[in-house]
Amino acid sequence: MGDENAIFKNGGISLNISKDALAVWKNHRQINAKDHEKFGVIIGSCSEIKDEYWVESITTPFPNDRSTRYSFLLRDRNHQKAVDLAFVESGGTSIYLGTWHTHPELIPTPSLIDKMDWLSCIGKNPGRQLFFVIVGTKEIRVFVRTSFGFTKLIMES
Amino acid sequence: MSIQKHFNTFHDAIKLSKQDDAYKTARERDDSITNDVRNAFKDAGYPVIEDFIQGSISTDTAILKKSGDFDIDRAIVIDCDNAPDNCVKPKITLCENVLEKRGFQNAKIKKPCVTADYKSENLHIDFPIYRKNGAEYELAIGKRNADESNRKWEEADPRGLKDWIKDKSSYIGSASDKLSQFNHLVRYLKRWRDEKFSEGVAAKIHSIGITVMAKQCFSPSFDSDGKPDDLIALKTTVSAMLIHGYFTAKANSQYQVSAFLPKKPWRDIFDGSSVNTGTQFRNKLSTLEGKLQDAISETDEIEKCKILREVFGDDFPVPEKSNNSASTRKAIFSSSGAVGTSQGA
Ligand SMILES: [Zn+2]
Repeated sequence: MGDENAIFKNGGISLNISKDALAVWKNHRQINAKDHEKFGVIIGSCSEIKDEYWVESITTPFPNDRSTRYSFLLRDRNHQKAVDLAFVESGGTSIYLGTWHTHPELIPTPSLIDKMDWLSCIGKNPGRQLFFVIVGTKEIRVFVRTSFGFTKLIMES
Repeated sequence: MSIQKHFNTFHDAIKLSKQDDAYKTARERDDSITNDVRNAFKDAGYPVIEDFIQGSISTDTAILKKSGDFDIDRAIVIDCDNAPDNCVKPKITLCENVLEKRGFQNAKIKKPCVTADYKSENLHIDFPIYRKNGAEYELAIGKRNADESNRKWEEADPRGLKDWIKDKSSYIGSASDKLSQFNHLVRYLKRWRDEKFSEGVAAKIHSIGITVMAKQCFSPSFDSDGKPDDLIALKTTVSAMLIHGYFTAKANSQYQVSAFLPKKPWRDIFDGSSVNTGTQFRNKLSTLEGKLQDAISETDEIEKCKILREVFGDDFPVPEKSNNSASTRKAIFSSSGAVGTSQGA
């Protein structure tokens, strides 16, 4: 993980994650017993017909955020600032694409709190396709909301 | 691509203006009848001293009806000194000596006017008759057989109302652009009414009512380049209409609607309207507000247009999905997205 781009797919949607973003996630894995959860927002773009998405950059915790080993609270305004800056610099193509956070488990599964929060993210961004990433100690999983609830994207090998 | 382009297309599709060919035919009919009215009124001893078009055509807020019908409001004015005390008399003259002679089977004397239908041409003409004293107008009110207590020359201000609707003196900055945006909004609201209400209820949500409410609540919107943003303007105007006080809550979540003419005779435009009309009007206006907000929040151009077509009907354009083979062309968004706060476990 982290040597080259990764592509995740589900139905008609694909998410292309740059190797830089993968490298950040690899470095933030909760491997040690004392590691707090790490988290941030995903910034990226999509094709005009909205079938291909690209993760271009991600943010990491800022001073006003809070976290424990099993929870986090993302509230520092610098996340929004990073999104807004990317938006302006890209001429309107780079936007908020969702959130990511770590779990201290090999293969991560979303908690109820995670899912509630994702629904609230979707509510705040009506009409937008959002992606939610959980970085486990072994695997990265990407979730999107479908009519069946939150479904994971399959990584292309 | 901006949603305004699609609003402009929609506006072109629904607007009816003096220059339209369809309207010209209607005007020719109207001119010919008005000429007969002049002759008949002269013979009757109360010559016509002026006539003018009133109503939405004169205020640039007319729309094409889905039925294809045209309305013309042709005001006929006689001098106060020659006007008979019985205000119904000139209405009967117009009805019998002009319209019935010309073969209108369905000429009718209504309370505020005489009406005639050109069935074959989908043309409907209203003739309000006024008497004029100095600069003051009085409208002939009363049905054919109205007795003295049910008929009167009632103070009115048809030109004042028209000027009030067209007034732009209170608009700061590019006043003409703002008036033009106002005219757009009134046309959108009228088409929305024709789409969303049954014919019977739509007829009770009078165009002049919509126009007066929109004028009093108008909230212009232009982007930083000075280009109109009709979607935002309509949303904020509709929101203001909902809280302006036109709708009075009654028992069982029902509403009574009322809005007063801003000029003489200052009457309630919705006088005598039922709570059913008021409730439907209020609730559908509230739904409209929500849909407009959805359209504002929606970032995909096609999806935006789909929401608006649901509101305004098939005349609102929905562009085809671009089949550009360069699938890596990036979508451009109107906003960066809202991060807010997030939590997880
Ligand atoms: Zn979690």
